[in-house]
Amino acid sequence: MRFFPDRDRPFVFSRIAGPRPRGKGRHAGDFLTARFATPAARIEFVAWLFCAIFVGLGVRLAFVMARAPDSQPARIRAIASQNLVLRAEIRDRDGQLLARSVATQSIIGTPSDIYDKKASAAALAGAFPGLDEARILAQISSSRYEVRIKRHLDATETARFLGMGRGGFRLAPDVRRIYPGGMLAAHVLGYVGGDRGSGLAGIEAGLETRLAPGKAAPVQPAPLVLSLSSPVQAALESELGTAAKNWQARGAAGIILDSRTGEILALASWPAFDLNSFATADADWRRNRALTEAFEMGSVIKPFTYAAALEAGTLPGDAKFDTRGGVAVGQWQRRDPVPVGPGASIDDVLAVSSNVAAAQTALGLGGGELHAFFRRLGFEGTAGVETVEGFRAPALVSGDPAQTAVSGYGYSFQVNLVMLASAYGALANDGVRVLPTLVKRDPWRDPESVRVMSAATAGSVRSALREVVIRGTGKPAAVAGLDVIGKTGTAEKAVENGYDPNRRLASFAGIFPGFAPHYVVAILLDEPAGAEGEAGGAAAAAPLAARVIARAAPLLGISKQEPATVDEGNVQRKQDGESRRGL
Amino acid sequence: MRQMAAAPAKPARFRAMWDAFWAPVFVPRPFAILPDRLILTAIAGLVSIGLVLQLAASPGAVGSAGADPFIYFYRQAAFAGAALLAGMVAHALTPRGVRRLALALFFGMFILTLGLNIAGTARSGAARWIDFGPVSLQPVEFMKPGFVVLCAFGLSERARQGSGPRGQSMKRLWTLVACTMLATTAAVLIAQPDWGQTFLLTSVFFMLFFVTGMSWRWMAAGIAMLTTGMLAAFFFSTHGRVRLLDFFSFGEPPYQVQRALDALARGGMFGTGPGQGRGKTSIPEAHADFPLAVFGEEFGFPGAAAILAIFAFLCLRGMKLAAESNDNFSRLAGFGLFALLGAQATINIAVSLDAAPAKGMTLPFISYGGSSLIGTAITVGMALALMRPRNGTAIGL
Repeated sequence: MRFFPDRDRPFVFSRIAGPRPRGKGRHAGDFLTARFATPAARIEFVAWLFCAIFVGLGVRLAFVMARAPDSQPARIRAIASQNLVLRAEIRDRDGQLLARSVATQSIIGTPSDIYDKKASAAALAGAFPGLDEARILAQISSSRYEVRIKRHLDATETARFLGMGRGGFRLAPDVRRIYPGGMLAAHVLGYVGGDRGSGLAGIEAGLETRLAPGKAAPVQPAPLVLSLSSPVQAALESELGTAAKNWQARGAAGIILDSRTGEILALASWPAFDLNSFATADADWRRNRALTEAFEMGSVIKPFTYAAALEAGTLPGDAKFDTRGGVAVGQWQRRDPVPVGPGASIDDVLAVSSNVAAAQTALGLGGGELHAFFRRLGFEGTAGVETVEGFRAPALVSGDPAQTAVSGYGYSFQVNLVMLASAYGALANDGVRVLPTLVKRDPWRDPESVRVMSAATAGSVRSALREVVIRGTGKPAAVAGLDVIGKTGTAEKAVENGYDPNRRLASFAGIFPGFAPHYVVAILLDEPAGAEGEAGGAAAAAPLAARVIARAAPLLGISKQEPATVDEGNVQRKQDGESRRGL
Repeated sequence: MRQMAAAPAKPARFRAMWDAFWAPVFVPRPFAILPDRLILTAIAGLVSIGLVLQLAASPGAVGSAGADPFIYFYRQAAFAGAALLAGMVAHALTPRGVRRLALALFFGMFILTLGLNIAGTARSGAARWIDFGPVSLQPVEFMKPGFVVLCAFGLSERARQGSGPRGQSMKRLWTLVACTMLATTAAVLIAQPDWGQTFLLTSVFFMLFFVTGMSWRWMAAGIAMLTTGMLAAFFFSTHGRVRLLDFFSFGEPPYQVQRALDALARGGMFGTGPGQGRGKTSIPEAHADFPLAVFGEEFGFPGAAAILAIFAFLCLRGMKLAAESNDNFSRLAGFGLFALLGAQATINIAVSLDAAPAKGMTLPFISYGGSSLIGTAITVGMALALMRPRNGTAIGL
């Protein structure tokens, strides 16, 4: 037939003799080289290789086409399949609901299935006044597979959507996270966001795998019970907010901790925000100042310096201080504004918060010993709580004596408020520091703990701190009948070259009730307004601590003990003839 | 002094270059002999399938009201007309003309691609188009045939060299020229990033190299390079990693591929019938990226298999005719152009069948798109020009 003009058959390659490959060496490919001697032969090989590939694809095609078509088209990476499993609830220690996920419905559009995009956008914008027509049109004109038009419809909106009957749109299950407490414990709880509703902050992010195990467990996990106590938390938050506003502080933070179990009963940061509208809150408000902000804490650290020296034996229990001459290491020297001595006891130097005495004690002990003690107190690494936020304290470096001296009164290293509270927990709990947690402990299991010092050392430091509240800088923290124990701190904030005396940190760390030490309270006011002395730890933080303790104590079931003698200076009590000192 | 002595030879060499430059690029009576009718028939079949497909898929792809539902069909028909013209012009070229066209296409489009890299419009993660109002140009579609012909030229020059010391050094020089072309082109394409086209051109380059008598040592090096390229795509490009991981199926195939497989499964043995398929609306960019699935759904296994058979036939027939060319360059370039066509079809079909990682690669002659259609027509036109029976061939560009 003329239509096929070839002389030979159409697919048969006529061999064109080419020069045989020349070469001296023989190698492994000689056999193949001979087989593929001419370009034409090699072309023929490639041509048949192509045919083989097409035959292979044909076989694959047959298999694909022989499959039963899926009745339900798979919606891979579709929006709907992401949120079906509800996140676990979050409750406080008494079962109060703090966060819960509820199933809702959202309108999903499939752009490729929407023929009349303009009319659809107009209809939806007309039916739902909150929606913007231009935005919907842009969404459904995009090349995405599915777009979310409106989330979390209520009952009337659902009915309105179903009544519209527009092709290419459907209702898909969605999940919404609600926080009944609003601002309550906002910084601890954190919030969820994104298409998948995964945790973005706080416990929600820190315990993401517990709250939403994903494919591993396709059912809603059991509620997560936190160590927080809602009423205590609310009391702390309200007092913190009032004080911070009064003092025009940049920020404030507070914590109440159970020293026996390490459970954090309340953890607050000010300014706060409403979790149900977290997206509109300022990023600064959302910061958890008790965890993310670390400072050189200053005087609140001093008790631990004495404790370390007492524990090591370099400081006898009845040591006598004389701070009139100040303290000097090489070029570095320091004097106290109010020198004491000679013959001042530990109680006396703590009561006036002497930097010189603390530096002398630190130097007497040595940097290595002191820092080893601080390490046991948890001043290195993280606080270890479950939120995603935190502060990792760098390793403590010893060696320079001047640096040892200042670390004796709380400078040259930074910790956050939770670490400070946890260290005070060791004083309250007779020398054993229980690692802090935000999740309620199983009462049948011993919590993880570290013995930091002997019970005797803890007792003597506590009695010295009781003196601070009775007659020292901590006086404003006193609460009648609760025998508050504690220490104030007024630290200058570190700036680029040294410390700024006008930017201060007012703090108080204490233990209550003094007759049966159990709870730790720690308060931090960031830059309260006022001159030095008027807006320090004694003036700003200690009264705040007193109000917090006064409100928290009844909530924690602590009954006041009427003092046996009216004189606050004499703490002797008629109770089984036991001395309260040294408890 | 030496230079002075060599001076008299200069005018003659210049005259030779001048004559070569003005040597004809078109054959005297291009339409006196019809090119291979089997190839023409196969191409006519593929283009018809493409037009039928646009007729079916156009309303779904247009989507919104207002626009003409058959706009893609009309445009594809217009592109087919332009492609026919371009193919006819290309097929009228002499081998020298083919080389010059290739040179112009390659460098022109290379510069455009480079411009796109610097300031391009990004669509689906890669800057690959230049917009000219209603039409947009995809330079790589025109660059590909130019690249193949130039590589074939370089490699045939390499094969032409003698075995003396001068021949050996010239051989090395031409190898270097060809490899440099591959490297720069790959670099520009990877910068887009267009791993699919990079893979396509690299594989065609190695087929050419294989045919010109690549030693086994070189082949091993090539395979090593391909592997390295794939690993590079995996480690240095998020886009490439996602696509590759999708393929090696830690998970389901990507959405479009899933939909394409669904469409084919719905088609089954006899198809849903012309115009009855749903794949064209459910697969994004079905008319350009998944024509096999749309056609297979409506015309069943015989329809889809016919496309495969026609491409297999085209490869076999085209390569046979190329192999019978009587000069090295024509043989190599003709082969390379058909290899380009076959490899591109293989990749597109393999993606539709979830047998290769997803890439934006058109199915020659069938996919919607002016750049692709006209570029393919130039590819075949050049190949047919090289297969034209003739007595001898001029060398040089």
